[in-house]
Amino acid sequence: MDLESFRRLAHERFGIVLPDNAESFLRSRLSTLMERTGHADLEALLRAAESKGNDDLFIDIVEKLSTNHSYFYREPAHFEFLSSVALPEIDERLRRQRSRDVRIWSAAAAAGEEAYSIAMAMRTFFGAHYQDLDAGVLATDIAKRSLRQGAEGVYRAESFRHIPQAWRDNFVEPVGQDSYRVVKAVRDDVMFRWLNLIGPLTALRGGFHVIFCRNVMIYFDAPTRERLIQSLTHLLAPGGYLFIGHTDDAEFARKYLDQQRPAIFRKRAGK
Amino acid sequence: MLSNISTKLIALVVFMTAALFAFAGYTIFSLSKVAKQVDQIASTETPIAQSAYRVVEAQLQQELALHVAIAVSGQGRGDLGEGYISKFETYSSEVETELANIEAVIDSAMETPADRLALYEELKGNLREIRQMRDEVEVVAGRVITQYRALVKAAGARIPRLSTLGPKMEEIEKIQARLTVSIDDLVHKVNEMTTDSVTDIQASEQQVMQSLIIAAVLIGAISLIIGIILALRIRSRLANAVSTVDRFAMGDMTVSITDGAGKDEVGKVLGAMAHMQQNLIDILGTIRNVGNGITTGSNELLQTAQQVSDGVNDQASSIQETSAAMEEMTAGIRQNAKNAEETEKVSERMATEAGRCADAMTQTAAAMKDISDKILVVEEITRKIELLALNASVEAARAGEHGRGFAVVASEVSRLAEISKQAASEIQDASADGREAAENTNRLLSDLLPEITRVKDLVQGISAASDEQSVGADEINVAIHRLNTVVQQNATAAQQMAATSGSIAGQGTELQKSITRFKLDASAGGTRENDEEAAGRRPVRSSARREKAAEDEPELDDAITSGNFGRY
Repeated sequence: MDLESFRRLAHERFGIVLPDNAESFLRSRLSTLMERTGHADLEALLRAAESKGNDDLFIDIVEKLSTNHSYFYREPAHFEFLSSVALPEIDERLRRQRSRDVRIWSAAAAAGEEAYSIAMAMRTFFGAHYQDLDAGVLATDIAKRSLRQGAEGVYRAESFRHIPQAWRDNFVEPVGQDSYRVVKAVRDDVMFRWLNLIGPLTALRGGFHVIFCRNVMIYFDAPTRERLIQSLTHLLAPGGYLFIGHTDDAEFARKYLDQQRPAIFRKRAGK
Repeated sequence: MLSNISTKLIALVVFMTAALFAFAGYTIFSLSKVAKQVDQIASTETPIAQSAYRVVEAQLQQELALHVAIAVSGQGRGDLGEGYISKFETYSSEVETELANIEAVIDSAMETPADRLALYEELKGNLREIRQMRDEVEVVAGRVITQYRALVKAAGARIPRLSTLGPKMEEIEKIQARLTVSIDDLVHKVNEMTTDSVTDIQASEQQVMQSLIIAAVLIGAISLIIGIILALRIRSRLANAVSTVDRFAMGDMTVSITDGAGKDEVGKVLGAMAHMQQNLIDILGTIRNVGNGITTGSNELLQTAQQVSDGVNDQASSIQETSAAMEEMTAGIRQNAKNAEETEKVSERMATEAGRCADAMTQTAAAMKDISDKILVVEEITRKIELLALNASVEAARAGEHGRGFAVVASEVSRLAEISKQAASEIQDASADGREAAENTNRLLSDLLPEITRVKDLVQGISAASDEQSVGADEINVAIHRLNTVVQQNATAAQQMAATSGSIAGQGTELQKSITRFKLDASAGGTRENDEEAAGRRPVRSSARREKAAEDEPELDDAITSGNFGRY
C-alpha cells in the first residue's frame, strides 16, 4: 500500500487530511509504532493496517497521526463563558423543565483534560447542588491510548499549569514525583468512550446542552468539517452551545449556528 | 616429639644406620677376636707345628744322613760320606733354625696375650727338653762324626770298619726317639691349643650369630613398629589433608585448611594451600566484586539507559505535542490569513461604501440647503396668508353678522398660517441641523476613509505576515520532523544501550553465579544477596506493574470500546 492510498483511506475512514510533507510526518510519528509492531518499513505497516481485521492497527496509526496535545483549562475564555453564561442558562432551564439531566459532551477529548476541566467547572458552579443533578461529561476520541490514560486520570504537573488554584486544591492530588491525579469523584464524572466522529453518530441520543469539539477539525477537509458541524448541530439541544477551537475554521459553524463569542456558537432556541 | 616427617624418617634411618654400625662394630669386634684366634693359630700354633714337624723331619734327615754317610763309607764310597756328613750339618743347622723359630714364635706370642702364658711356658719347657736332647744328639753325633772321620782316615783307601759306630748310632736313635716323643708332645700341645682356639672361634661365631639375630630381630621390630606408626600417622595426616583439600577443591573456601595442620611437611603443604586458598579467596572476592560491580554498574547503566530511553520518550512525546501544537498553530495561522483576507475585502468594501456615504451626505446637505431655500418661500407665502387672513377678518367685521362665519375662517387661516410659519421655521432649523449633520457626517466619513484604507493596509500586512508565518511554521514542522527522527534514533540507541547493559548485567550475574560454586565467607567481596535483590527485584517490580496494567487494560478497553454511551 503506498502513501497515496493510505492518505485516501485515512481520509475516507477518519476524515483525516494528511499534510503535504506526509511522508516525513508519517515516518517520524510512526517510527515508534513500527518498532513496537516490528514492521520493517512504512509500506509494510500500512499494508498490514489496511488488511481486513486489523482495525486496531489502523486506529493505532490514526492515533499516532492525531496525537493531541492539550492541557487543563485550555482557552480560559471558554470556561469563563461556560461558568458565567452556559451553566446558569442550563441551571435555569433545568429548573423550568424540572429536569436533572445535564448533558455535556467533549467530542475530541483525547486524554480527557478538557472533559475533566468541564467537570471541575460544573462542580465549582453547582456547588452542593451538583449532587442533586445527573451531571457528567461524555468524553470521546478515536485515540484509545489517550482515552485509557484519561480514564486513569494521571497527568504531568505541567498539564495543570493553567487551572485556577481552587480547582488544583479540590480536584487534583499528587501521585509520585511530578505527577498528579484527578480525584476519584471527578474521574467518575467523566465517561470515556471510543468514537469516530466521521462515522455515524447515531449511537448518541443527542440533546446536548454543551458540546466541546475543539482543535479537531484542523485535521479534516471542508466537506468533512461541514458534515461534522451539521451532525453536532443536530445533536445539540435548542439553545445549546458548541465550543470549537480558535484555530478551527468557524465558517460552517457560523453557517448553521449563531456565534456568541469567538469560537462559541449557539443553536437557536426552538429550532 | 619430632614434628617433621622428614626428621622422623631421618631419625629412623639414623637409628637403623646406627644399629647397623653397632652390629657391624660388634661383629667386627667379635670377628677380631676370631681373627686373633685365627691369627694365633696362623702366627703361632701353625708355625710352631710346622717347625716342629720340620725339626722332626730334619732330625730324621740328619740321622739318615749320618746313617747314609756311614753306610756309603762302609761300602767303600768314602768320598760320598763327607758329603752326607756336611748334609748332616746342614740339617743340624736347619733344626737349630727351626727350633729358634719356634722359640721366637713362642716369645713373640708370649709378648701379647696373658691367658696362655702357662701353656707357652710349658711349650718352652718342652723346647728346652728338645734342645737338651738335641744337644745330646749333637754331642753323640759329633763324636760319631769324629770317630767316623778317624776311621775313614785310618782306613785310607780301604773300606773302613765302621761297626764301632753302631752303639753310638743306637744311642742317637734312642735320643732321637725321645726327641720325637718330646716333639710330639709339643706338637700335641700346640694342636690342643689350636683345638681350643677353634672352639673359641666357634663359640665367638655362635655368639656373634646369636647377637646378630637378636639385634636384627630387635632392631627390625623397633624399626617396623616406629615405621608403621610413622606411616600410619603420615597416612592419617595425609588423609585429613586430602579431605580438607578435597573440600577446598570442591569450592568450599570457608574450610580452614590449616586447622590442626601442625608444622610438618603436610602442614607446610597445607600452609601453602591455605596461602593459595587465601589468594583464591582474594581473587574470587575480587571476581565477585567485579561481578557485583559489573552487575551493579550495568544495572545502573540499564537504569541510566532506561532513564535516557524515558527521557527520549519524553522528548518524543514532547516533540509530538509540539508537532500537534504546531499543527494547531499552522491551522490558526491559516485561519488568521483567511480572516485577514476576508477583513481586507470587507474593509475595501467599507472604504467604497464610506465613499458613497460621503457622496450621499454631500447630496443630503445640498438637499437640505434646497429645503432651506424652499422653506423661505413657504415662510413668505405664510406671511402673505397671514396678511390675507388679517384683511379677510377686517372685511368680515365690516360685513357684520353675515361676515361672522367668514371671520372664523379667517382666524382659522391665520392660525394655520401661524402654525405653518412655525413649522417652516422648525423645518428651517431642522434642515440647518440636517445640513450641519450631513456636513459633519461627510467630514467624519472623509476622516474615516483613510482609516479604513489604513485598516485595509494593516490587514494586508497581517495577511502577508500570516503567509510568512505559514512558511515559517512549515519550516518549523520540517525541523520538528527532523528532530523527531533524531530523537527516534536516540530512542533506538538508548534501547540498544539498555539491551546491551541488560546483557552485561546478565553476564555479571552469570559470573556471580559461577562464583557461587565457591563457598565464600560473607566478608570476602560485596554483599551478594543485596546485589541479587537489586538485580532481581527491580525488573520484577516493574514487570509486576506492567502485569497490573495489562490486567486493567482489557476491562478498561472493553468499557472504552463498548459503544455503550449510557445516558448520552
